[in-house]
Amino acid sequence: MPEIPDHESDAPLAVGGISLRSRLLVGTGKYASFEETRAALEISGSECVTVAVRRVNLDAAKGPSLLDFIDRKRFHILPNTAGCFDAASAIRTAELARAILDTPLVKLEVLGDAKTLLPDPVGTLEATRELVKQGFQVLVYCSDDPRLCVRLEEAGAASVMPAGSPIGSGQGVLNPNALRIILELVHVSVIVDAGVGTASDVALAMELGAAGVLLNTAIAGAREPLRMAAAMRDACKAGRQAFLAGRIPRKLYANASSPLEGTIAPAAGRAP
Amino acid sequence: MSATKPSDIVLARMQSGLRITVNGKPRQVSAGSSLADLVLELGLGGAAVAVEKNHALVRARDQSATVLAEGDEIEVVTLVGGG
Repeated sequence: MPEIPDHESDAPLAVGGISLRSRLLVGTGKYASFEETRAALEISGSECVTVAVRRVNLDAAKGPSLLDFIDRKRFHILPNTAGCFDAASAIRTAELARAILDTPLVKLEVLGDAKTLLPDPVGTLEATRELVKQGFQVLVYCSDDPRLCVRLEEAGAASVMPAGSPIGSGQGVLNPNALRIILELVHVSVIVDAGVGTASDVALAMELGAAGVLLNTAIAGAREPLRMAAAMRDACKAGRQAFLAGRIPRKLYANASSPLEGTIAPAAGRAP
Repeated sequence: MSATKPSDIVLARMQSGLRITVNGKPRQVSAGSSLADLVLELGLGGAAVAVEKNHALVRARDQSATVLAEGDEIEVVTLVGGG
């Protein structure tokens, strides 16, 4: 059996001072239970999971906490600023997360409005600058605008994470051309974050050369989350392998796989 | 300790207590309480939480020395599932 280079031979994804063998990053929201969360995270093969910061519910009885279900020896925890609609709140949220986790990592989200959940580019850039100044490793959720991604890189982002499509929409990568331009212009890791609906969306992003994909709802909201976690794991590997292998160029006309000479059939269907 | 009627305790607290806000809800604490006292009172000693006083983070090591004042706005947060 010839040696097939598998994903293990690929360089790990280095981002924000950590090194990840799996290029799939997963969220921890919307699962039916902490047990299901834990199983999905394990099956996904991911080594980096994102969590949100929220007020402690002081009225509820003390129950188990999400952190009890995440093995920190196995997973890097990437706190996010989801739900912040201005730079100041996002910065406060990042500081709170750092105080709990003692990690410099943060997935920055500064959103424009609750209906679209689209990133606010100006607030995002402003918060990136401040968090970088404060020593954070900032992985920045942003729109798929190539110039914005360049500006975020210049501001010191550890990674730019353009949305494939709106958060939780399941529309996949809506603008592959924008993503291709971002991949050409930006030198830090480009991780496609948000919008994934199914496995082929992950494969497409990886085939285009994305350094990784971050998703949550596509697994947690699937009819069978654990099976989808496996599908995403495999799609991420497959897409990465295809990118490394180098796809053939697209052509308008056919290119026969079998020799055209030596057939017993009369020549037919020649182009005029 | 002398026997004190509950109404007297309530009265004493009203006189010496502080009105603060915790996670957006009003709460009364005894005068002189520190942030660390409040965290314990909330049953969150040793829990994976972070605390802000008036929009500024107060690190765990500084919470004992941080004395609460009337009108303080306290936020106590933790980590939850999210994407």
